[in-house]
Amino acid sequence: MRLLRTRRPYVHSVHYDHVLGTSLDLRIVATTPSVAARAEALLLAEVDRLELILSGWSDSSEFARWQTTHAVDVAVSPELAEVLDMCESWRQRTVGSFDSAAQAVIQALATDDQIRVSDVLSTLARNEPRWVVDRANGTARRLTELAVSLDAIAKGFIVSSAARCARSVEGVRGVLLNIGGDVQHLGEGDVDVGVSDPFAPMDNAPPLVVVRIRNAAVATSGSYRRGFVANGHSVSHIVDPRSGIPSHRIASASVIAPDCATADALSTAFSVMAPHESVAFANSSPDIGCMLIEDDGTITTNASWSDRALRPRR
Amino acid sequence: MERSGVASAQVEFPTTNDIMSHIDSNQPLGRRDLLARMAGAVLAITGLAAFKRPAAPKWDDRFELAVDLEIATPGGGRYHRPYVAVWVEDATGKPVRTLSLWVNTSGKGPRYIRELRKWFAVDRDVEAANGPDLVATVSSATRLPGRYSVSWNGRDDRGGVVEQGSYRVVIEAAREHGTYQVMKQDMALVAKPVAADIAGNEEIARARVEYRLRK
Repeated sequence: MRLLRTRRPYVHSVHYDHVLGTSLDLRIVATTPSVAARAEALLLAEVDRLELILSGWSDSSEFARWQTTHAVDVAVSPELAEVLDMCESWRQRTVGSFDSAAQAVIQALATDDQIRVSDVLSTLARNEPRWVVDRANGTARRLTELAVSLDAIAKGFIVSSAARCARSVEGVRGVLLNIGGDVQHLGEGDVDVGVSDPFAPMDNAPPLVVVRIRNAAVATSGSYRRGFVANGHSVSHIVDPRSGIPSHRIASASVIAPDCATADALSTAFSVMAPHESVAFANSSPDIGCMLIEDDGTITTNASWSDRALRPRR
Repeated sequence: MERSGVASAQVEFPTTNDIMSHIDSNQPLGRRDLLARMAGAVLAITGLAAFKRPAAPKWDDRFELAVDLEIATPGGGRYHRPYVAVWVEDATGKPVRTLSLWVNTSGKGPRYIRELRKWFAVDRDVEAANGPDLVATVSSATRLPGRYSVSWNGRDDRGGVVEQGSYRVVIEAAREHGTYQVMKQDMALVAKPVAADIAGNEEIARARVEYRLRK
Protein backbone atom coordinates (compact mmCIF):
# COMPACT_ATOMS: atom_id res chain seq x y z
CA MET A 1 0.00 0.00 0.00
CA ARG A 2 2.76 2.38 0.90
CA LEU A 3 4.51 1.56 -2.36
CA LEU A 4 1.32 2.34 -4.24
CA ARG A 5 1.02 5.72 -2.58
CA THR A 6 4.53 6.75 -3.45
CA ARG A 7 3.93 5.82 -7.05
CA ARG A 8 0.55 7.43 -7.48
CA PRO A 9 0.14 10.62 -5.48
CA TYR A 10 -3.31 11.77 -4.49
CA VAL A 11 -4.78 14.55 -6.61
CA HIS A 12 -7.17 16.75 -4.66
CA SER A 13 -9.45 19.09 -6.63
CA VAL A 14 -11.92 21.55 -5.17
CA HIS A 15 -14.01 24.44 -6.42
CA TYR A 16 -15.49 27.25 -4.33
CA ASP A 17 -17.57 30.28 -5.19
CA HIS A 18 -17.62 33.62 -3.42
CA VAL A 19 -13.97 33.78 -2.48
CA LEU A 20 -12.56 37.33 -2.76
CA GLY A 21 -15.67 38.23 -4.75
CA THR A 22 -15.03 35.54 -7.34
CA SER A 23 -14.37 31.79 -7.64
CA LEU A 24 -11.54 29.56 -6.40
CA ASP A 25 -10.19 26.46 -8.16
CA LEU A 26 -7.57 24.43 -6.36
CA ARG A 27 -5.60 21.33 -7.25
CA ILE A 28 -3.19 19.85 -4.75
CA VAL A 29 -0.96 16.87 -5.51
CA ALA A 30 0.01 15.23 -2.22
CA THR A 31 1.15 11.93 -0.79
CA THR A 32 -2.17 11.28 0.97
CA PRO A 33 -5.69 12.75 1.15
CA SER A 34 -5.10 13.97 4.70
CA VAL A 35 -2.00 15.90 3.67
CA ALA A 36 -4.00 17.51 0.86
CA ALA A 37 -6.83 18.37 3.25
CA ARG A 38 -4.42 20.01 5.69
CA ALA A 39 -2.79 22.00 2.88
CA GLU A 40 -6.21 23.15 1.65
CA ALA A 41 -7.22 24.28 5.15
CA LEU A 42 -4.00 26.28 5.54
CA LEU A 43 -4.43 27.83 2.11
CA LEU A 44 -8.01 28.92 2.80
CA ALA A 45 -7.02 30.33 6.19
CA GLU A 46 -4.30 32.39 4.49
CA VAL A 47 -6.81 33.73 1.95
CA ASP A 48 -9.12 34.75 4.80
CA ARG A 49 -6.29 36.33 6.80
CA LEU A 50 -5.02 38.39 3.87
CA GLU A 51 -8.52 39.44 2.84
CA LEU A 52 -8.96 41.01 6.28
CA ILE A 53 -5.80 43.01 5.62
CA LEU A 54 -6.09 43.96 1.95
CA SER A 55 -9.77 44.01 1.01
CA GLY A 56 -11.05 47.12 -0.67
CA TRP A 57 -14.62 45.85 -0.31
CA SER A 58 -14.89 45.89 3.45
CA ASP A 59 -14.77 48.98 5.66
CA SER A 60 -13.10 47.01 8.40
CA SER A 61 -10.03 45.73 6.51
CA GLU A 62 -6.68 47.07 7.62
CA PHE A 63 -6.30 48.76 4.23
CA ALA A 64 -9.72 50.44 4.56
CA ARG A 65 -8.84 51.77 8.00
CA TRP A 66 -5.43 52.97 6.78
CA GLN A 67 -7.19 54.77 3.90
CA THR A 68 -8.91 57.06 6.38
CA THR A 69 -5.52 58.41 7.53
CA HIS A 70 -3.50 61.11 5.80
CA ALA A 71 0.04 62.47 6.11
CA VAL A 72 0.87 60.54 9.28
CA ASP A 73 3.01 57.45 9.81
CA VAL A 74 0.70 54.59 10.66
CA ALA A 75 1.84 51.18 11.94
CA VAL A 76 0.88 48.58 9.33
CA SER A 77 1.20 44.83 8.97
CA PRO A 78 4.18 43.53 6.94
CA GLU A 79 1.75 42.31 4.26
CA LEU A 80 0.06 45.69 3.80
CA ALA A 81 3.48 47.39 3.76
CA GLU A 82 4.68 44.95 1.10
CA VAL A 83 1.66 45.44 -1.16
CA LEU A 84 1.76 49.23 -0.80
CA ASP A 85 5.45 49.12 -1.68
CA MET A 86 4.75 46.99 -4.76
CA CYS A 87 2.09 49.43 -5.93
CA GLU A 88 4.46 52.38 -5.84
CA SER A 89 7.22 50.36 -7.44
CA TRP A 90 4.99 49.28 -10.37
CA ARG A 91 3.64 52.81 -10.78
CA GLN A 92 7.15 54.14 -11.20
CA ARG A 93 8.39 51.30 -13.40
CA THR A 94 5.37 51.45 -15.72
CA VAL A 95 5.49 55.27 -15.78
CA GLY A 96 1.98 55.53 -14.42
CA SER A 97 0.27 52.81 -16.49
CA PHE A 98 -0.26 50.95 -13.24
CA ASP A 99 -1.56 53.30 -10.56
CA SER A 100 -3.59 52.42 -7.46
CA ALA A 101 -5.12 55.89 -7.74
CA ALA A 102 -6.77 54.89 -11.05
CA GLN A 103 -9.64 54.21 -8.65
CA ALA A 104 -10.09 58.00 -8.27
CA VAL A 105 -10.39 58.36 -12.06
CA ILE A 106 -13.03 55.59 -12.17
CA GLN A 107 -15.02 57.28 -9.40
CA ALA A 108 -14.81 60.64 -11.17
CA LEU A 109 -15.84 59.12 -14.53
CA ALA A 110 -18.85 57.48 -12.89
CA THR A 111 -20.11 60.92 -11.80
CA ASP A 112 -20.00 62.18 -15.43
CA ASP A 113 -18.37 65.35 -14.03
CA GLN A 114 -15.70 66.30 -16.60
CA ILE A 115 -14.16 68.99 -14.42
CA ARG A 116 -13.66 66.51 -11.62
CA VAL A 117 -12.12 64.02 -14.06
CA SER A 118 -9.61 66.63 -15.30
CA ASP A 119 -8.78 67.62 -11.73
CA VAL A 120 -8.00 64.04 -10.80
CA LEU A 121 -5.93 63.46 -13.96
CA SER A 122 -3.85 66.60 -13.43
CA THR A 123 -3.23 65.63 -9.81
CA LEU A 124 -2.07 62.15 -10.92
CA ALA A 125 0.11 63.64 -13.66
CA ARG A 126 2.15 65.55 -11.06
CA ASN A 127 3.70 62.17 -10.39
CA GLU A 128 4.00 62.64 -6.63
CA PRO A 129 4.37 59.56 -4.47
CA ARG A 130 1.00 58.21 -3.40
CA TRP A 131 2.47 57.14 -0.05
CA VAL A 132 5.74 56.44 1.73
CA VAL A 133 6.37 53.01 3.22
CA ASP A 134 9.01 52.30 5.86
CA ARG A 135 9.28 48.51 5.82
CA ALA A 136 11.97 48.48 8.54
CA ASN A 137 9.80 50.38 11.01
CA GLY A 138 6.57 48.85 9.75
CA THR A 139 4.83 52.12 8.94
CA ALA A 140 3.10 53.64 5.96
CA ARG A 141 2.20 57.28 5.45
CA ARG A 142 -0.58 58.06 3.02
CA LEU A 143 0.16 61.20 1.00
CA THR A 144 -2.53 61.29 -1.66
CA GLU A 145 -6.05 62.31 -0.77
CA LEU A 146 -7.44 60.58 -3.83
CA ALA A 147 -9.32 57.29 -3.70
CA VAL A 148 -7.00 54.32 -4.17
CA SER A 149 -7.53 50.61 -4.68
CA LEU A 150 -5.26 47.60 -4.32
CA ASP A 151 -7.57 45.43 -6.40
CA ALA A 152 -5.24 45.19 -9.39
CA ILE A 153 -2.53 43.57 -7.29
CA ALA A 154 -4.02 42.29 -4.01
CA LYS A 155 -5.70 39.26 -5.53
CA GLY A 156 -2.47 38.18 -7.22
CA PHE A 157 -0.58 38.72 -3.96
CA ILE A 158 -3.09 36.61 -2.05
CA VAL A 159 -2.98 33.84 -4.70
CA SER A 160 0.83 33.59 -4.46
CA SER A 161 0.90 33.75 -0.66
CA ALA A 162 -1.87 31.20 -0.19
CA ALA A 163 -0.30 28.81 -2.71
CA ARG A 164 3.00 29.05 -0.81
CA CYS A 165 1.20 28.13 2.42
CA ALA A 166 -0.14 24.94 0.88
CA ARG A 167 3.17 24.10 -0.79
CA SER A 168 5.00 24.39 2.54
CA VAL A 169 3.09 21.41 3.98
CA GLU A 170 5.24 18.29 4.07
CA GLY A 171 3.99 15.76 1.58
CA VAL A 172 2.63 18.34 -0.86
CA ARG A 173 4.23 17.99 -4.27
CA GLY A 174 2.33 20.55 -6.24
CA VAL A 175 -0.23 23.32 -5.82
CA LEU A 176 -2.26 24.91 -8.59
CA LEU A 177 -4.42 27.75 -7.33
CA ASN A 178 -6.77 29.79 -9.49
CA ILE A 179 -8.76 32.60 -7.91
CA GLY A 180 -11.07 34.20 -10.45
CA GLY A 181 -8.63 33.71 -13.33
CA ASP A 182 -5.37 34.54 -11.52
CA VAL A 183 -3.28 31.36 -11.47
CA GLN A 184 -0.23 30.29 -9.46
CA HIS A 185 1.56 26.98 -9.75
CA LEU A 186 4.16 25.84 -7.21
CA GLY A 187 5.86 22.47 -7.11
CA GLU A 188 6.80 19.55 -9.31
CA GLY A 189 5.85 18.98 -12.90
CA ASP A 190 4.50 21.12 -15.68
CA VAL A 191 0.90 22.31 -15.80
CA ASP A 192 -1.04 23.45 -18.83
CA VAL A 193 -2.95 26.67 -18.28
CA GLY A 194 -5.52 27.87 -20.81
CA VAL A 195 -6.36 31.48 -21.51
CA SER A 196 -10.02 32.36 -22.11
CA ASP A 197 -11.09 33.63 -25.50
CA PRO A 198 -12.16 37.22 -24.69
CA PHE A 199 -14.66 37.08 -27.56
CA ALA A 200 -16.21 33.79 -26.34
CA PRO A 201 -15.43 33.53 -22.62
CA MET A 202 -17.91 30.67 -22.03
CA ASP A 203 -17.06 28.14 -19.38
CA ASN A 204 -17.50 25.27 -21.83
CA ALA A 205 -15.54 26.92 -24.62
CA PRO A 206 -12.03 25.70 -25.39
CA PRO A 207 -9.31 28.12 -24.27
CA LEU A 208 -7.89 30.33 -27.00
CA VAL A 209 -4.31 29.52 -26.09
CA VAL A 210 -2.58 27.06 -23.77
CA VAL A 211 0.72 27.75 -22.00
CA ARG A 212 2.82 25.18 -20.15
CA ILE A 213 4.25 26.53 -16.91
CA ARG A 214 6.01 25.32 -13.79
CA ASN A 215 6.55 27.33 -10.60
CA ALA A 216 5.01 30.33 -12.30
CA ALA A 217 1.88 32.44 -12.38
CA VAL A 218 -0.52 33.52 -15.13
CA ALA A 219 -2.91 36.46 -14.75
CA THR A 220 -5.32 37.95 -17.27
CA SER A 221 -7.02 41.35 -17.37
CA GLY A 222 -9.94 42.16 -19.60
CA SER A 223 -13.24 43.91 -19.44
CA TYR A 224 -15.35 41.15 -20.99
CA ARG A 225 -16.78 40.16 -17.62
CA ARG A 226 -17.30 43.45 -15.84
CA GLY A 227 -17.32 47.16 -16.41
CA PHE A 228 -19.10 50.29 -15.23
CA VAL A 229 -21.32 52.99 -16.73
CA ALA A 230 -19.93 56.42 -17.66
CA ASN A 231 -21.81 58.96 -19.81
CA GLY A 232 -24.54 56.37 -20.25
CA HIS A 233 -22.17 53.85 -21.83
CA SER A 234 -20.89 50.64 -20.35
CA VAL A 235 -17.11 50.91 -20.32
CA SER A 236 -14.16 48.89 -19.07
CA HIS A 237 -13.41 48.86 -15.36
CA ILE A 238 -9.77 49.24 -16.35
CA VAL A 239 -9.01 52.92 -16.89
CA ASP A 240 -5.78 54.42 -18.20
CA PRO A 241 -4.67 56.52 -15.21
CA ARG A 242 -2.65 58.71 -17.57
CA SER A 243 -5.49 59.73 -19.90
CA GLY A 244 -8.65 58.81 -18.01
CA ILE A 245 -9.77 56.73 -21.00
CA PRO A 246 -11.24 53.31 -20.18
CA SER A 247 -9.27 50.47 -21.77
CA HIS A 248 -10.71 49.93 -25.25
CA ARG A 249 -8.04 48.62 -27.60
CA ILE A 250 -6.94 45.62 -25.54
CA ALA A 251 -9.62 42.95 -25.13
CA SER A 252 -7.38 40.76 -23.00
CA ALA A 253 -3.88 41.09 -21.54
CA SER A 254 -2.21 38.00 -20.04
CA VAL A 255 1.11 37.82 -18.22
CA ILE A 256 3.31 34.93 -17.12
CA ALA A 257 5.56 35.81 -14.18
CA PRO A 258 7.25 33.94 -11.34
CA ASP A 259 4.66 35.25 -8.87
CA CYS A 260 1.01 36.14 -9.26
CA ALA A 261 1.26 39.66 -7.77
CA THR A 262 3.62 40.64 -10.59
CA ALA A 263 1.45 38.91 -13.20
CA ASP A 264 -1.66 40.64 -11.82
CA ALA A 265 -0.13 44.14 -11.75
CA LEU A 266 1.42 43.85 -15.21
CA SER A 267 -1.70 42.43 -16.85
CA THR A 268 -3.52 45.54 -15.61
CA ALA A 269 -0.78 47.87 -16.87
CA PHE A 270 -0.66 46.09 -20.24
CA SER A 271 -4.42 46.61 -20.64
CA VAL A 272 -3.81 50.33 -21.13
CA MET A 273 -0.37 50.28 -22.79
CA ALA A 274 0.12 49.85 -26.53
CA PRO A 275 1.05 46.23 -27.36
CA HIS A 276 4.57 47.13 -28.54
CA GLU A 277 5.17 49.03 -25.29
CA SER A 278 3.98 46.03 -23.26
CA VAL A 279 6.24 43.65 -25.18
CA ALA A 280 9.24 45.96 -24.70
CA PHE A 281 8.45 46.24 -20.98
CA ALA A 282 8.07 42.46 -20.58
CA ASN A 283 11.31 41.85 -22.45
CA SER A 284 13.21 43.94 -19.91
CA SER A 285 12.91 40.95 -17.58
CA PRO A 286 13.82 37.41 -18.72
CA ASP A 287 10.94 35.60 -17.03
CA ILE A 288 8.00 37.82 -18.01
CA GLY A 289 5.80 36.51 -20.80
CA CYS A 290 2.91 38.49 -22.25
CA MET A 291 0.05 38.04 -24.69
CA LEU A 292 -2.07 40.97 -25.78
CA ILE A 293 -5.33 40.42 -27.68
CA GLU A 294 -6.69 43.51 -29.38
CA ASP A 295 -10.34 44.23 -30.10
CA ASP A 296 -9.87 43.32 -33.77
CA GLY A 297 -8.49 39.93 -32.75
CA THR A 298 -4.82 40.74 -33.34
CA ILE A 299 -2.61 38.76 -30.97
CA THR A 300 0.82 39.98 -29.90
CA THR A 301 3.15 37.90 -27.75
CA ASN A 302 6.76 38.20 -26.66
CA ALA A 303 9.32 35.42 -27.00
CA SER A 304 9.03 34.37 -23.38
CA TRP A 305 5.30 33.74 -23.87
CA SER A 306 5.66 32.01 -27.26
CA ASP A 307 8.26 29.65 -25.81
CA ARG A 308 5.65 28.35 -23.36
CA ALA A 309 2.66 28.36 -25.72
CA LEU A 310 1.46 24.94 -26.84
CA ARG A 311 -0.89 26.15 -29.52
CA PRO A 312 -0.43 29.68 -30.83
CA ARG A 313 -4.07 29.91 -31.92
CA ARG A 314 -7.03 27.71 -32.67
CA MET B 1 -44.28 31.90 -35.46
CA GLU B 2 -42.88 30.28 -38.55
CA ARG B 3 -44.08 26.82 -39.33
CA SER B 4 -40.84 25.26 -40.47
CA GLY B 5 -38.73 23.93 -37.62
CA VAL B 6 -41.36 24.01 -34.91
CA ALA B 7 -43.83 21.79 -36.73
CA SER B 8 -41.31 19.00 -37.08
CA ALA B 9 -40.69 18.95 -33.38
CA GLN B 10 -44.39 18.47 -32.68
CA VAL B 11 -44.55 15.21 -34.59
CA GLU B 12 -44.83 12.51 -31.98
CA PHE B 13 -43.52 9.05 -32.38
CA PRO B 14 -46.16 6.26 -32.38
CA THR B 15 -46.93 4.70 -29.03
CA THR B 16 -48.10 1.18 -28.34
CA ASN B 17 -51.66 2.50 -28.11
CA ASP B 18 -51.38 4.01 -31.57
CA ILE B 19 -50.23 0.69 -32.89
CA MET B 20 -52.90 -1.34 -31.06
CA SER B 21 -55.65 0.95 -32.31
CA HIS B 22 -54.84 -0.18 -35.82
CA ILE B 23 -55.73 -3.71 -34.92
CA ASP B 24 -59.34 -4.78 -34.74
CA SER B 25 -59.47 -6.50 -31.38
CA ASN B 26 -62.90 -8.07 -32.02
CA GLN B 27 -61.52 -10.50 -34.54
CA PRO B 28 -59.88 -13.70 -33.35
CA LEU B 29 -56.33 -13.72 -34.69
CA GLY B 30 -53.60 -16.26 -35.12
CA ARG B 31 -50.19 -15.30 -33.80
CA ARG B 32 -48.70 -14.99 -37.28
CA ASP B 33 -51.62 -12.92 -38.42
CA LEU B 34 -51.31 -10.62 -35.43
CA LEU B 35 -47.60 -10.09 -35.96
CA ALA B 36 -48.11 -9.37 -39.62
CA ARG B 37 -50.82 -6.85 -38.84
CA MET B 38 -48.76 -5.17 -36.15
CA ALA B 39 -45.78 -4.93 -38.45
CA GLY B 40 -48.00 -3.45 -41.12
CA ALA B 41 -49.41 -0.93 -38.66
CA VAL B 42 -45.97 0.08 -37.45
CA LEU B 43 -44.78 0.53 -41.00
CA ALA B 44 -47.85 2.56 -41.86
CA ILE B 45 -47.40 4.89 -38.89
CA THR B 46 -43.67 5.39 -39.20
CA GLY B 47 -44.09 5.87 -42.94
CA LEU B 48 -46.77 8.44 -42.30
CA ALA B 49 -44.62 10.23 -39.73
CA ALA B 50 -41.74 10.38 -42.15
CA PHE B 51 -44.01 11.65 -44.86
CA LYS B 52 -45.70 14.31 -42.69
CA ARG B 53 -42.45 15.58 -41.35
CA PRO B 54 -41.09 18.48 -43.42
CA ALA B 55 -37.33 18.53 -43.90
CA ALA B 56 -36.38 20.88 -41.05
CA PRO B 57 -33.59 23.28 -41.86
CA LYS B 58 -30.29 22.59 -40.17
CA TRP B 59 -29.04 24.71 -37.24
CA ASP B 60 -28.21 28.25 -38.34
CA ASP B 61 -24.56 28.83 -37.45
CA ARG B 62 -25.13 32.55 -37.06
CA PHE B 63 -26.87 31.64 -33.80
CA GLU B 64 -25.80 30.27 -30.44
CA LEU B 65 -27.71 29.23 -27.35
CA ALA B 66 -26.25 30.73 -24.19
CA VAL B 67 -27.07 29.48 -20.71
CA ASP B 68 -26.09 31.82 -17.87
CA LEU B 69 -26.49 30.69 -14.31
CA GLU B 70 -25.73 31.99 -10.88
CA ILE B 71 -24.91 29.69 -7.99
CA ALA B 72 -27.01 30.48 -4.92
CA THR B 73 -25.19 31.39 -1.71
CA PRO B 74 -27.23 31.00 1.42
CA GLY B 75 -25.64 33.20 4.05
CA GLY B 76 -22.85 34.45 1.78
CA GLY B 77 -19.20 33.61 2.16
CA ARG B 78 -17.11 30.80 0.74
CA TYR B 79 -19.24 28.10 -0.77
CA HIS B 80 -18.61 24.71 -2.36
CA ARG B 81 -20.03 24.75 -5.84
CA PRO B 82 -22.84 22.18 -6.19
CA TYR B 83 -22.51 19.43 -8.77
CA VAL B 84 -24.12 20.82 -11.88
CA ALA B 85 -24.99 19.33 -15.25
CA VAL B 86 -26.33 21.42 -18.11
CA TRP B 87 -27.63 19.70 -21.22
CA VAL B 88 -30.01 19.99 -24.15
CA GLU B 89 -32.80 17.55 -25.01
CA ASP B 90 -34.84 17.36 -28.19
CA ALA B 91 -38.64 17.62 -28.25
CA THR B 92 -38.97 13.90 -27.52
CA GLY B 93 -36.85 14.19 -24.37
CA LYS B 94 -33.83 12.50 -25.91
CA PRO B 95 -30.54 14.02 -24.69
CA VAL B 96 -28.78 15.78 -27.53
CA ARG B 97 -25.74 17.47 -26.04
CA THR B 98 -24.17 17.85 -22.59
CA LEU B 99 -22.90 21.42 -22.27
CA SER B 100 -21.13 21.12 -18.95
CA LEU B 101 -20.70 18.77 -16.06
CA TRP B 102 -19.16 20.02 -12.83
CA VAL B 103 -18.49 17.33 -10.30
CA ASN B 104 -15.96 16.45 -7.65
CA THR B 105 -12.90 15.05 -9.36
CA SER B 106 -10.69 14.47 -6.33
CA GLY B 107 -8.93 11.15 -5.92
CA LYS B 108 -9.80 8.45 -8.40
CA GLY B 109 -12.13 10.62 -10.44
CA PRO B 110 -15.68 11.88 -10.42
CA ARG B 111 -17.32 10.39 -7.34
CA TYR B 112 -20.61 12.19 -7.11
CA ILE B 113 -22.01 11.86 -10.59
CA ARG B 114 -24.77 9.66 -9.20
CA GLU B 115 -26.01 12.70 -7.29
CA LEU B 116 -26.89 14.15 -10.68
CA ARG B 117 -29.39 11.35 -11.14
CA LYS B 118 -31.21 12.72 -14.15
CA TRP B 119 -28.02 13.27 -16.11
CA PHE B 120 -26.60 9.98 -14.89
CA ALA B 121 -29.79 8.01 -15.72
CA VAL B 122 -28.87 8.04 -19.37
CA ASP B 123 -25.64 6.17 -19.87
CA ARG B 124 -23.20 8.93 -20.60
CA ASP B 125 -19.55 9.17 -19.83
CA VAL B 126 -17.79 12.09 -18.25
CA GLU B 127 -14.93 12.21 -20.71
CA ALA B 128 -17.34 12.64 -23.61
CA ALA B 129 -19.34 15.26 -21.72
CA ASN B 130 -16.53 17.64 -20.91
CA GLY B 131 -14.18 16.67 -23.68
CA PRO B 132 -10.62 15.66 -23.03
CA ASP B 133 -8.89 17.48 -20.17
CA LEU B 134 -6.98 19.94 -22.30
CA VAL B 135 -5.81 22.15 -19.49
CA ALA B 136 -5.40 22.04 -15.73
CA THR B 137 -7.02 25.45 -15.24
CA VAL B 138 -7.91 28.59 -17.17
CA SER B 139 -6.70 32.16 -16.74
CA SER B 140 -9.30 34.81 -17.53
CA ALA B 141 -10.65 38.19 -16.60
CA THR B 142 -12.08 38.01 -13.07
CA ARG B 143 -15.22 35.91 -12.84
CA LEU B 144 -18.21 37.60 -11.24
CA PRO B 145 -19.08 35.73 -8.03
CA GLY B 146 -21.00 32.54 -8.71
CA ARG B 147 -21.70 33.37 -12.35
CA TYR B 148 -21.17 30.81 -15.08
CA SER B 149 -21.97 30.81 -18.79
CA VAL B 150 -22.04 27.94 -21.21
CA SER B 151 -23.06 27.97 -24.83
CA TRP B 152 -24.36 25.54 -27.43
CA ASN B 153 -23.40 25.64 -31.08
CA GLY B 154 -26.12 23.30 -32.36
CA ARG B 155 -23.94 20.21 -32.41
CA ASP B 156 -24.92 16.92 -30.77
CA ASP B 157 -22.63 14.87 -28.52
CA ARG B 158 -21.13 13.19 -31.58
CA GLY B 159 -20.49 16.47 -33.37
CA GLY B 160 -23.39 16.24 -35.83
CA VAL B 161 -25.33 19.37 -36.78
CA VAL B 162 -28.86 19.32 -35.35
CA GLU B 163 -32.02 20.56 -37.04
CA GLN B 164 -33.77 23.76 -36.09
CA GLY B 165 -36.74 23.12 -33.85
CA SER B 166 -37.90 22.92 -30.27
CA TYR B 167 -35.39 21.98 -27.63
CA ARG B 168 -35.33 21.80 -23.88
CA VAL B 169 -32.45 23.09 -21.74
CA VAL B 170 -32.06 21.14 -18.49
CA ILE B 171 -29.98 22.33 -15.53
CA GLU B 172 -29.57 19.74 -12.79
CA ALA B 173 -27.87 20.68 -9.52
CA ALA B 174 -27.19 18.61 -6.43
CA ARG B 175 -25.18 18.96 -3.28
CA GLU B 176 -23.88 16.39 -0.92
CA HIS B 177 -25.98 16.85 2.23
CA GLY B 178 -27.87 19.51 0.29
CA THR B 179 -30.82 19.75 -2.01
CA TYR B 180 -31.50 18.37 -5.46
CA GLN B 181 -32.86 20.68 -8.15
CA VAL B 182 -33.85 20.45 -11.79
CA MET B 183 -34.62 23.47 -13.98
CA LYS B 184 -36.08 23.18 -17.48
CA GLN B 185 -36.72 25.61 -20.26
CA ASP B 186 -38.30 24.78 -23.63
CA MET B 187 -37.36 26.99 -26.51
CA ALA B 188 -37.98 27.17 -30.26
CA LEU B 189 -34.55 27.48 -31.81
CA VAL B 190 -35.42 28.65 -35.31
CA ALA B 191 -34.68 31.80 -37.28
CA LYS B 192 -35.24 34.40 -34.61
CA PRO B 193 -33.62 35.27 -31.28
CA VAL B 194 -35.50 34.45 -28.12
CA ALA B 195 -34.65 34.53 -24.39
CA ALA B 196 -36.18 33.32 -21.16
CA ASP B 197 -35.40 33.61 -17.46
CA ILE B 198 -35.82 30.55 -15.27
CA ALA B 199 -36.87 31.01 -11.65
CA GLY B 200 -34.19 30.15 -9.11
CA ASN B 201 -34.02 27.57 -6.35
CA GLU B 202 -31.85 26.68 -3.35
CA GLU B 203 -28.83 25.77 -5.50
CA ILE B 204 -29.11 27.97 -8.60
CA ALA B 205 -30.20 31.51 -7.73
CA ARG B 206 -31.23 32.32 -11.30
CA ALA B 207 -30.67 31.19 -14.83
CA ARG B 208 -31.21 32.68 -18.24
CA VAL B 209 -31.39 30.91 -21.57
CA GLU B 210 -30.80 33.06 -24.63
CA TYR B 211 -30.89 32.03 -28.28
CA ARG B 212 -29.03 34.83 -29.98
CA LEU B 213 -26.89 35.87 -32.88
CA ARG B 214 -23.26 35.08 -32.16
CA LYS B 215 -21.09 38.05 -31.37
